[in-house]
Amino acid sequence: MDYNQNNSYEPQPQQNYEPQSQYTQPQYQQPVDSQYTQSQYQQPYYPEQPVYAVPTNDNSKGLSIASLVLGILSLTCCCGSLITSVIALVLGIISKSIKKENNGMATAGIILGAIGIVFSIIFLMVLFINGGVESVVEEFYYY
Amino acid sequence: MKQYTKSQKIFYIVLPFVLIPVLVILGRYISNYTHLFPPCPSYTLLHFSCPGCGTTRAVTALLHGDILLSLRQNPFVIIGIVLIALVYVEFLLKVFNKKLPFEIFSNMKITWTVLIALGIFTVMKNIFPILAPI
Repeated sequence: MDYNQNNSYEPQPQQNYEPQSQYTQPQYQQPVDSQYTQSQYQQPYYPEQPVYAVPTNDNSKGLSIASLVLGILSLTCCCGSLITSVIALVLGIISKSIKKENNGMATAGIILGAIGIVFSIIFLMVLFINGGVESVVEEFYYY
Repeated sequence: MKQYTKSQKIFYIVLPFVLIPVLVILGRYISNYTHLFPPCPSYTLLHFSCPGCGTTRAVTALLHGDILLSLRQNPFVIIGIVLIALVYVEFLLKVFNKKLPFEIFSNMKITWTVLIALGIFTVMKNIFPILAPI
């Protein structure tokens, strides 16, 4: 009787493994089934490759180039321009959210846009404190 | 690789030879009226030279043929023109399905070098007035 009870303990850890293997198999079978139904129309049938769908949304390159160019323009051509700095910052953030790594141009655009915004806010504050544009316009002969 | 037709190739070759003289003539006409342009706000209000201070004077000197004066006013104008020319040469080679040994357009090393040099030059321009445009 004791020997039968010891025997009854042995298959139980073996039984615990079976439901785990049952969980892996239907996950592996499902993409093969869907690929088999789709391949009748478009693709050749590769029976052992699950489908890795990579979203190819390549808008990030143009946005990052635009962000970099607008950032450089906001600093060198119109130093302290609110519009171009804000647009550079926004486009850089959008491009960085689309393509997260290897996006040096978006990083540069974000940094330049931030510096431009700081510059323009300082400039607007000084203008506001000194009493508007009319009080400053007399003394421009620097070009 | 996108294929360009023969007329497109001829257009891209002839384009700089037509565009550059037109821009030079326009520029020389405009450079007589640069005293009417709006001033640099960062220099008039904050007395701080922005990275682009002296660009107009540099371009004016370049249009009249004086390269050394334009280097004195703002050296990044010449650097910018050289970079634009290199990018156009790379584009022209791409039209004819050739390649340079190094890429220029999306090269982040060149971009970061130029931007950091610009930042350092801006700070030095404000500390030592000898580097500032005339």
